[in-house]
Amino acid sequence: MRGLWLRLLRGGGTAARLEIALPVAAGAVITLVLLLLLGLQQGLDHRADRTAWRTPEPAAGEATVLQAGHLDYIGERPITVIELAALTAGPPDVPHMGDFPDPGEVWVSPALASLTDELPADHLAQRFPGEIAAEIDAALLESPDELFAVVGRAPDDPAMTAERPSHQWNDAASLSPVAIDHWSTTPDLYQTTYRDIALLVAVLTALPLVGLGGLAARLTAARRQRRTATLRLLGASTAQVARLAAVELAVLAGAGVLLGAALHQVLLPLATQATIKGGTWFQADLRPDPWLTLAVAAAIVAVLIVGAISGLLPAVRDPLGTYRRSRLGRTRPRWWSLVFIAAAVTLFWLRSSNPFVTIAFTVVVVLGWGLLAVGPWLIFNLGRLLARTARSPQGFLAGRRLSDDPHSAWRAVGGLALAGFISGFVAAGLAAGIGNADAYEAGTERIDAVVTAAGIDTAASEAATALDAAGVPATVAATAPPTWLDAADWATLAVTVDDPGADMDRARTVLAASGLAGPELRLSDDLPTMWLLQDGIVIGFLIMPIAALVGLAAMVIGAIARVLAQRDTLLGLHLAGTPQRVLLAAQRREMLLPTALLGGIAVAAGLAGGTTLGSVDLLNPATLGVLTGLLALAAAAVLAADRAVRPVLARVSTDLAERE
Amino acid sequence: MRESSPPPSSGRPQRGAPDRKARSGSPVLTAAGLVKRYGDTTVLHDAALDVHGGETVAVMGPSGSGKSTLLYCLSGVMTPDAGTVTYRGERVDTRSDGRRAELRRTEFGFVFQFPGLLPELSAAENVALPLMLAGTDRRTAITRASTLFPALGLDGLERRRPGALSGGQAQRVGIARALATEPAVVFADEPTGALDTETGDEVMSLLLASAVERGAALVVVTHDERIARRCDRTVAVADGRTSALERS
Ligand SMILES: Nc1ncnc2c1ncn2[C@@H]1O[C@H](COP(=O)(O)OP(=O)(O)O)[C@@H](O)[C@H]1O
Ligand SMILES: [Mg+2]
Repeated sequence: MRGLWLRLLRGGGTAARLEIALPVAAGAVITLVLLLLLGLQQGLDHRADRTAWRTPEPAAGEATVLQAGHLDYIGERPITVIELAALTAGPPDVPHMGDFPDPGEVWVSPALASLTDELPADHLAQRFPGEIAAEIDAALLESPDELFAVVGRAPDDPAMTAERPSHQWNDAASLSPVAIDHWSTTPDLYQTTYRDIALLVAVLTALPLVGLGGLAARLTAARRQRRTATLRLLGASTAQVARLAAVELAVLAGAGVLLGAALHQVLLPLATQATIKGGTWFQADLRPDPWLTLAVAAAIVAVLIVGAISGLLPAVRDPLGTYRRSRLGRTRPRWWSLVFIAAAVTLFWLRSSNPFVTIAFTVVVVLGWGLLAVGPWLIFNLGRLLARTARSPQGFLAGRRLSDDPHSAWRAVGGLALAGFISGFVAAGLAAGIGNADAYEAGTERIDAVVTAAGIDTAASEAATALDAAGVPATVAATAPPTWLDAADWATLAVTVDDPGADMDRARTVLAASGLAGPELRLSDDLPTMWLLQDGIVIGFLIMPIAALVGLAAMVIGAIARVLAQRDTLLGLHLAGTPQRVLLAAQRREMLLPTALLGGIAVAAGLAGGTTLGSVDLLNPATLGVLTGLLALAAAAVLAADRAVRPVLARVSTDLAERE
Repeated sequence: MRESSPPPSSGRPQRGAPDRKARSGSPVLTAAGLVKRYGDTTVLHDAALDVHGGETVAVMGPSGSGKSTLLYCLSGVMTPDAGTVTYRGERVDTRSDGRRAELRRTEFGFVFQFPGLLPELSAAENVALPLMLAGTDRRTAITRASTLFPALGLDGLERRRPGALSGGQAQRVGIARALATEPAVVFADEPTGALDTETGDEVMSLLLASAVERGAALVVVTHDERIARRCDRTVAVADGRTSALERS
């Protein structure tokens, strides 16, 4: 028994080389992508933990500190500012700093320190109420390049007493002074929402990965099944054939997983440079725990083995039937997947903090994984319909072959269907994001500082005077506050700078220095949406090529695998005088029709999922562009499969030596 | 595969016809009252067969009469719906799947109508396969397998792949594989059905000779009267019932 699997692999020729290469490649890609996604999840978790203290919780006992905060901006980069005032003689140290800022003391992150040095003082440095006294520890930063400042103030400083306007969801944008007795450890909603979105992305990405895994485990299912049946007839025990398949896949997938983990190591420094939520990454954030990495590796290998062995079950149970093909593959929707879907949705509802993301997640899981579950069943019925209504022999052959072996047809077209689902989702989501981008662009040339309604007139005239004195040409106006604020309490001081390229930050510095710097809530609303769009594009362009590649490879490999699996039928048809032309035409139909049906359903489902992120008119350039790309991909895949299958079909259906 | 076959041309089935060769002792393999159904169709009604050590038994009958099914039940590939199969006093039909597999691996050999060789392996490796499955290490198994090649006229073909063998050669490799574990009983289901007459005769002669030489009992399904005559006795299968066939 020992070495038999190796011998079987080495002896298998071209088909076996694919049999070796695919599990290795699939193991590598799946591992790489999963580790990256896990890293993203972990990184966002760590970011949320490190920034949790910035959004204070009111004191239950005796208060020791007053804490407030706001987002300032330099160009279009936010500067997170936390303001602290001691209420007692010995205030608690700021976490990881071993100290508490004295009034007038300013601590800055390394990135902010160097930016302060770089820029003229009237752009940035003069906004701070005191001297830079310390550099903030990395353990307090969201990302290595974050602009972050901690400002010490006196408890009776007007900044620490006056109520501030609040943001509708981005708490850090403007925090009214709060008396606290401990540093908060509850992550902020904006942070956890991002983490939830990343989970949504992980699920979307898992779809093509599952397709790839299935393809790898089952590519040569027919061959391995045939072999298993023969071995069983010769008296091999169930354990022996199972071990054969398991050892084979464990070694191959194991090699792939190692390769993927190594690739991940190499790519990690690159991955830390990917800007997500406006910042790059600490490497430790993105590197999953070694135990988790090991668990992922083991899980991938296990899933591939289980996939391969479950494909062998019929041959183990009924070797004779498998050999003679007397047993029909039964196809029902896989109801067990409902359990999985329900579990995924439930877990997410328990964990998620943001109802919008939760709804999007639910829709994606139900539609995406639902598609995965009913795909073969749809193809089975399509085949039956086709065979029943066909008028040409190729139509009849295609239909019969589809309904006879819908699983292998699904493996060929399923990857493309999932790519269609993801593209639909991205196409709709992208359009929603771009709608926001336009609103953002329109507002970049104006500072919208929210101040009290009572003080707006004074603020406006003082701002105009100060800007004039500083030599910053600008127009000052008083406008309505953001929609979620009461106009009786709040108003917007709108400063339109004549030359935003040069003077935007000078104007901000002037306003700050004259004590008029109300928080720029509109920017704190628009910028994260922009980031979300950018991140969506970054991730989307990471997922979509994977999905497209898997779709394309699945189509070509799947089509070849199907021909090889049905070699007896094809040989028989050929010997019975069926022209090659008819076989080819049938083959083309077998690929084209399920692609069209499932692709159509998948894109529609994806679009429906994507619109949960924001309703859009689907007739826009972004959506249509993505969908056109998808159509081109599908056409290329069908053509490539057609090309690749032609010689195999010719060989299999004519060469008697090909029979087993 | 031959779809239609000539009916047994001579002799009327007669119960209790005397056997040509006197047999002593109890049979190694006994089957009685076998019933096998596929869904609604009953293929075996009341089939019975005794096989004594070292004897050769021809099984004849029209296509679709249940000959293959009978062989599958005897060899433990299938379990009958009723009746008993006993091998050396041990019930085969009620054994677990694992035990039946073990019997196939160690006590029985099977030659199928199709060669059923693994295309990935060389001829010698295919023959060595049952030995490897039974625990022999690869080298020894292949060496032992190769010793079967000269007698079957397969000299020099040890390293060939099945795809590069003629139909007759492939079937002889199949025979070698069935004999490799030195089984007590070899089953052959129309082993020459896919071969031309001349090649078929040659293959069948080799099968008979090598089984006899090794002292293995042989149960062979054939449509060829001449082959049947060379066996110790003939059993007819008709409509799922067995009966001994008297020779003309
Ligand atoms: N898997 C099966 N399912 C249903 N019917 C079967 C199956 N296998 C064989 N049969 C039927 O059982 C009968 C006997 O088959 P078989 O034993 O192969 O006959 P023989 O070998 O004598 O030609 C035939 O009528 C055949 O159609
Ligand atoms: Mg038969």
